[in-house]
Amino acid sequence: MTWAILMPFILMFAGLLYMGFARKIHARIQKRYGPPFYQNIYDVIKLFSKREAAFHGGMFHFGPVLSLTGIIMALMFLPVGGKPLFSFQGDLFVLLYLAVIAPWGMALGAGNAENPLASVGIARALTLMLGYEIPFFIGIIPIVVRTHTTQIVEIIQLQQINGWNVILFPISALASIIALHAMLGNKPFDQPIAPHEIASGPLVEYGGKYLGILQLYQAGAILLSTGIYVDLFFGGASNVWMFFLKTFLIYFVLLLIGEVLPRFRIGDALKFFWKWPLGIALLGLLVAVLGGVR
Amino acid sequence: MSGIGKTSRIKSLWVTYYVTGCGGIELLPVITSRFDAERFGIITSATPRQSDVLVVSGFLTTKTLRRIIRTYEQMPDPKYVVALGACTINGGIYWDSYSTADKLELYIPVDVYIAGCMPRPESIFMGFAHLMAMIKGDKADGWKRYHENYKWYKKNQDKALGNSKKWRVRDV
Amino acid sequence: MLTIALYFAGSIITYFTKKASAIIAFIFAVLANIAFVFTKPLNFHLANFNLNFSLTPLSYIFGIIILTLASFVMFCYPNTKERQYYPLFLLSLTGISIILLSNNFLSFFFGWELMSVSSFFLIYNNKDRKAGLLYLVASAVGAYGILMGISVVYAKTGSILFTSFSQNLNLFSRREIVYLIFLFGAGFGVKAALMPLHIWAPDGYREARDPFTAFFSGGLSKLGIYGFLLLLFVFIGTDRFATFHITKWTLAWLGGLTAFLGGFYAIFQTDIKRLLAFSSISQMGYAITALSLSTSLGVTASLYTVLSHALFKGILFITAASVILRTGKHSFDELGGLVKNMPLTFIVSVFAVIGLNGVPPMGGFPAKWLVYEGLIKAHYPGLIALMFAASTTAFLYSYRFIHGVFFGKRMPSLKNIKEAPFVNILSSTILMLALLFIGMFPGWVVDFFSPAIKFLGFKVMVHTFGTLSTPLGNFNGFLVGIVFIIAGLFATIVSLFFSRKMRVSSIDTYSSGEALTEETPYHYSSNFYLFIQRDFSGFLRLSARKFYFSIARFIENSAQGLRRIYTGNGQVYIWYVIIVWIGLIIGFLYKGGFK
Repeated sequence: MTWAILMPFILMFAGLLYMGFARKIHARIQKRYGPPFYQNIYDVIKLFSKREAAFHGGMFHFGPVLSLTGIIMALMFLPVGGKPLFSFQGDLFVLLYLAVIAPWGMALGAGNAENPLASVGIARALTLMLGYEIPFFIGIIPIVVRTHTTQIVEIIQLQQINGWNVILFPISALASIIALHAMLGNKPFDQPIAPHEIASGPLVEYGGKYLGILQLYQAGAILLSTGIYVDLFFGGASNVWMFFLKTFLIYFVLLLIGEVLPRFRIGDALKFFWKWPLGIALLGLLVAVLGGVR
Repeated sequence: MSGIGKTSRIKSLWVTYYVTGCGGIELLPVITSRFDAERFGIITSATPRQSDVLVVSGFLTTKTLRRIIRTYEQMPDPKYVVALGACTINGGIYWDSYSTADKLELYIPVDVYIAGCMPRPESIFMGFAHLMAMIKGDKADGWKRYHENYKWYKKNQDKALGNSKKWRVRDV
Repeated sequence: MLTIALYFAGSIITYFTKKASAIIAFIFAVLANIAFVFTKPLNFHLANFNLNFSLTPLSYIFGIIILTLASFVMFCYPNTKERQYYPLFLLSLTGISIILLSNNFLSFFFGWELMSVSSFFLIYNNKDRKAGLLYLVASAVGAYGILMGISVVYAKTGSILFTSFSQNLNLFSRREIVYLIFLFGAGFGVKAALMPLHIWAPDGYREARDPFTAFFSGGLSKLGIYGFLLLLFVFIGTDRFATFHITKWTLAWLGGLTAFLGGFYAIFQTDIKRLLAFSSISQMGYAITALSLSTSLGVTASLYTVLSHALFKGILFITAASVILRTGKHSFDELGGLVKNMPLTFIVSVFAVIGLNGVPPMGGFPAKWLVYEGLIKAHYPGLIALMFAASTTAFLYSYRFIHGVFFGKRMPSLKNIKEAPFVNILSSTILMLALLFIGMFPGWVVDFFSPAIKFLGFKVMVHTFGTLSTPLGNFNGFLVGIVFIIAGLFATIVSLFFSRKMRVSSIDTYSSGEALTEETPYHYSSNFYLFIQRDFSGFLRLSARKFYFSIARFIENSAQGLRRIYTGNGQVYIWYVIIVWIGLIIGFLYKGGFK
């Protein structure tokens, strides 16, 4: 029970470190030094130490609050490194839908910012969600249908016996990892928070403590997305350090892919998702169904 | 706020660069790979609402001065202003032009001046280091001065720019 | 029977009263609602037909959901001053109670027609006749389907009672049962707006009188689901229907397509009520897919969808009614920024929209969870992808609704809009609390449904007061709700410390240093999803409505072609008569003439 309460905060702290590592790697690829890997912790503390924060209305304040609530709840239901937390009380679908509360909170808050740039950012974020959620989900279906359970803990245990799902369902894993790339919001899929086009989109009016809360949400969301992927495809982890290692490796690989690609246009991103990852995911589903499900 | 709060403010400065004139050209090597500013935690912020430092580089026409003041007022406290180049100190080479305002410090409080026309990236780094030392010693209080002496600043702003709804949002 | 009498009496009385008609209507509705629960069976003979009325467990559930929602909507402030609003509303409720209470086909059909016609009059208005007439034609086509089905049943079995149909089912061959499903299904599908029978729904919901639309979408469309449940599980029988694999598969995929395409079209709408109409079509697709699985999970999911949809769609349509009442505008291009004027309406709408998205802890989530679990257990992997896609489109259009009405920069013309009427807010709040309750205590809801589930011939799933369990996975609604409240309190407390608020006005927002005024149109709401619309413009040009109208035009044109023969000119007809007469003479002589 204590782990269920502490784990979201440990994961958010780890997410801040991941974001710092991402900046370091980004800098080294560009042949410069880059900030220290704990830089994002300083950023969050600095944001919380601001004296003021712009305030547009009640929902503007409760947007980040709802975001933080959502990410804490979702992280409590994710089995992490041998500790199932609340995962027996809510299965895979509960987790997938709990993971939606946090972006929804940010969307509601950004809507009240009375700025069209925020609205455009949210429209792009939702369009991108329409793009990537479907291939991600179709990639997960073969696992659920084949193992005939929706409890993530049981899927992890079955992977210890049968081998990792990335080897059993390679095509679905490929489709899901492309969708995961967009879930993390890395280039080339960072249209919602595009700093140069729409002045960071939904975050345009947020400063001070609200931005700090949203940074914590982003950090937690990295761990949540990669955590779901690792639990479903890479056999979970037996302890917390292996969990961090596996999620960091996946994050690292996706970061390197994102380094060489510029941002897509949002219409092109949606067409891409409904062409290639969806096709690969449907192919994976077909293969899994024909491989004997009933 | 002392201790960890102050350290984090020093180690993570988010900057809004208001590039009005030629001074901006020296900022590009500063923030990119040549002279990497990100290793000190100094990154470009997307909007003034998210930034701590306003870097004004270049001459100040009435048109840009209005927007500088609007941008400065949109930033949340505590905020610092770094004035880059000779034009912000006393007008620089445009000191006798009909369209420029000469001294930035009459309109918004300035914390650090970086002299030069234009200052090289090494000077800009020394300026930021000076700002960090001032924050550490609690001397970077431009934002407090703005609140306390707002009437004086408003008088100067009105004299140069006129008091109208076209650019002011508060106290029109 | 008291229920039917009360509704009918209320309908007549409210036609004659003027000011007090709202209160009288509400009192009659509540009394009839309570009387419904205590209905006793009744048999009477009418012209050689044996009419039987009784309250089955299934109609009990549907009656409570539909009639209670009707009472709440009756409580809301009417948007029109027409005399016939309350009488017609009560008349449609009469029709519904006749349908729910009847155990024989004759009164079932009578109630169906009464409900259709009275709701037609609430859609029809002189400015846009097309919407009302399309509804009437579609309802008529569906009703004829039902009537043909009833005639076939009566011809074969000789009786109009439901029980005699289900007992004499072996008189029908398998093919005849499929035809019957098709005939009855056309009627029920029109009411539930199943694709491709949905073409009346978008404009129909848009043109209906305002608070009535909340009942129309939340209550009337559920009768289609009731009809399907009766047809497939009570008449044909659960075990028998489980062998109709192709029918099940077709119905499931039709429901899936309805769910996805309804949601997809809803993304691009510019009118408030049209968007909610497509959303209703989409949610009913979920219910139909769930019940076509013919498993216990499926039927529970279908009933749960019916309940949660009635609640959140009722709230959303009441919100739309309030907004249209206060502002007079019903398009997203003209609205925006109303969160400052209508905060209570906004809060209730946000919770309703969270329920629409199916996000825990509100009540929409257990319904979706049960649908997914049912689909996995029944081995429909392709369909579950389509359902999830439909659920993702729900995120998009529901945000469009909230953003277009409440968020963004308020236009100067909307500055003095008052808050919604108190009765609307009260109704919406009670419905919202009910939605929260069914989200946190899904086990209680399954308990409530268990008589109906057993009546339909299924086993009830494993549940406790706050949790649901299937062989595949668990869902603890109570724990999710408690965690939400505690995490929410923690996050709120965290956000209250640290910096103080710098209150900025709506014109003090980031605009690259420019100064905005109240009149500056700094608002992004039209063409909200233009990037999707541009890329799918080819697909969006296809439409079932155009297909049907093209068939109508084709028939009209071929009838025009027939004008070459039937010219309407008398002399041409005389020529025809002469030619045929000569032909007959020739034929007569050829055959041998007078012998």
